[in-house]
Amino acid sequence: MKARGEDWRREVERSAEEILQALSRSLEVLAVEKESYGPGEIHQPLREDGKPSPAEEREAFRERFLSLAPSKDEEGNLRVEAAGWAR
Amino acid sequence: MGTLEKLEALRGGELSPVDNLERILERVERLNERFNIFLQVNPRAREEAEEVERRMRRGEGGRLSGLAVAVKSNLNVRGLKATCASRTLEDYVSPYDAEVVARIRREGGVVVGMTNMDEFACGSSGESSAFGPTDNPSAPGYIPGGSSSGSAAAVAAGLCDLALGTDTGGSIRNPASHCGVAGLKPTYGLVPRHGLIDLGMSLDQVGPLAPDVQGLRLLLEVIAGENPGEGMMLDVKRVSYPGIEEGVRGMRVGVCPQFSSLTDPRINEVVERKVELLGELGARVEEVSIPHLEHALSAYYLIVSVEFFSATRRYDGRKYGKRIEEVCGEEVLRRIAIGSYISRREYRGKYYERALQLRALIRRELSSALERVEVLVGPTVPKLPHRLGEKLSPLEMYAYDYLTVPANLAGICAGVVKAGEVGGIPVGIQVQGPPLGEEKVLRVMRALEAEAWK
Repeated sequence: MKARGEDWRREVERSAEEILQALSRSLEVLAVEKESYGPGEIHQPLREDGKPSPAEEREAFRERFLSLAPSKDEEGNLRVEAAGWAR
Repeated sequence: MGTLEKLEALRGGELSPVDNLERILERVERLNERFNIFLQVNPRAREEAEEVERRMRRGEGGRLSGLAVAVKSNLNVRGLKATCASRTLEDYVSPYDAEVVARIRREGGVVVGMTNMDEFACGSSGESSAFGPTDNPSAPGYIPGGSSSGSAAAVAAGLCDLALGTDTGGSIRNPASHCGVAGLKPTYGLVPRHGLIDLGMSLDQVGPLAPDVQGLRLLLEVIAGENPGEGMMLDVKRVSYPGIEEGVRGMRVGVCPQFSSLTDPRINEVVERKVELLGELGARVEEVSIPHLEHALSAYYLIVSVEFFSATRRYDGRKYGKRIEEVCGEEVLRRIAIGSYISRREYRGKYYERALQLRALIRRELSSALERVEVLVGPTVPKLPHRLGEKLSPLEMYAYDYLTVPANLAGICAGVVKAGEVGGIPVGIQVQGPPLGEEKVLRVMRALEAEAWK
């Protein structure tokens, strides 16, 4: 590996920008698709009919998730506890 | 000796867990320096084998009964270093067992040690480890593939009976192909990720590597199934695949021209011979299309870079080891930089959301292909492995993942078994199945393996 100076860092960052441009060219050729964030929206393997979960079921997810959460703040965000570092 | 024969010998008392481990440790002693496979050998392995032996005498040996298991260094194993092959975590000793490791221990598996890998799983060659590259025991002087380089090499060199790897974009299947061993990426959500140090949380899956398909089945049956409290898991209690010896007669097997058009003709030749064999064994082979396959790689690298950037924000030098940007290697820094650019507010909607749309498209095309056929077969890696140390550009390196990333984007299962060799270098055939289609995938792999052993 090259010496880890500022030049090395700048070179890596420049290559990252070039790669990002190269990869994003692939995105431009496609028509805009409906957004999708989880496999359950396309195919639900645990449903007998294999169909996606109903939209209302997915929309209610946050509400159900927070209702099960051990702790949440007044704005409805999940409150978590940071774990301790152990060596 | 195959995995089931060894298991029988262990259960029948012809081979004790301690003797099995001693033989493996002797090989580790002899070969590890040459191939750089283990980053840490478990100093308590003998005690653990003795404990399994005591349990077996009480009739509590479990399903693994003293088989020796190697673990990739991005999984937590209590008391051992989960370094991710990075200086960032070089002093991190795990305070707990990942769920998959706990399950292996419960079933009588003995952890041999922590294997080498590409740094933070960012790589497909096994060369980006901060602790030096792993050599390929099946083709010395060539890369073993990555990122589960050490786990595949450990199986190939006989330095363990079974191994755990992780697969985010092909990291089990790629080294399995290059090292001539069997490997399987399970359906996303089938195997617990608790205790896995993330590369890309929506893509990562822990999976088995083994010398044979029955070994894969055994380890997968041990590690798979729901883990209460873990959110991103399918509602599957436990799995069992009794039908993998049933052969392929009557199975609908798909081949996809887009896979072979991206691949070295020498690899295609080896794979095509196996496809013909499946036809001779009674499978119905038909062609299916995944029209946008070539865009999968771009979608994958954009998504994984964002998720990796997010996952690495905890390595700020205060809580978890050293500050990652100060000590990491080139590829890790590059992916952090890509993820950081994409995550900027002004780029909202330009890269990441578009990549997610592309992911949905690939997933839909794969799902549609897997409605027409039961499994898809084809090559695993489009190129033969390069010689260790040969310089490739990052995009050339990313191209190794062309044929494996679609399964991760779609969350489906996919396995690899040796199909043949090109100039002495192993070549694996990839079998992809629908979500929770592991039994079908293993069945096809086992049919090919059984023919090769005749």
